Amino acid sequence: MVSFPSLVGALHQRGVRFVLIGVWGANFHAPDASAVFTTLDYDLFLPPEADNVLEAWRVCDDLGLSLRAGAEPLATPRDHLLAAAVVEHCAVVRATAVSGLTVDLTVVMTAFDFEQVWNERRTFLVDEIEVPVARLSHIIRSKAAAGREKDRLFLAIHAEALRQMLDGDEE
Amino acid sequence: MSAVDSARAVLDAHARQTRETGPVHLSDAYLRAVDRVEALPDNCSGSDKTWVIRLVQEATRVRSSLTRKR
Repeated sequence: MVSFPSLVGALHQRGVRFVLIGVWGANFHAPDASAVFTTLDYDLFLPPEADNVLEAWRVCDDLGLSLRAGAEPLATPRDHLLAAAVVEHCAVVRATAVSGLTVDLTVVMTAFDFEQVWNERRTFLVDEIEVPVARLSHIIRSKAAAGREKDRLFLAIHAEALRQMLDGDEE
Repeated sequence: MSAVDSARAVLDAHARQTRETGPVHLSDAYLRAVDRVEALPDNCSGSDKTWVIRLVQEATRVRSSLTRKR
């Protein structure tokens, strides 16, 4: 069964560059369970480079994950030309496994470019696999800049969770 | 109006609400809290975060096993 750590390990083996962002990136910074959000979707931020994107797809393919762009299966052949088009249009490709694992591969993180996020990343361990994770402040500022309804909801709940936790520390 | 119709009316009204979107101003207090969390020893590179995945997996398992009693 494909798990998130096994996918991350396979991406490392093939030299794919990526950083975990989004709610899962924030979860990995949570000091305790009160600031952890239950979500099944992982968001991986990739540099806007067709070769890297293509290799990420190949890893997913090899692990048996299905790839979709929007409502449609990702077109074939999955070659450099298609990867370049996906990068150009900043399209999100979603990889899903029968285990329920869902991973969005994106070349966009609102208000940030990849190299900045990469250079300041943290590396956490999950099942002894190294997971590159964006800084919490980058994740929060990106969500604030995007300002979608779901971002606003997340920020409101996250801010309250941190406030309660830090207030508790000071008591 | 049946209970189902009432529920539909509530959901329809909710769906018609204008959702606020656009950049969000982050308060100084929130940003300070984020900085404090980032600086925690457990958030240094190399920290083991396996517990986070286990926690979410367990929460998801429990939630999926819930059944409605009435």
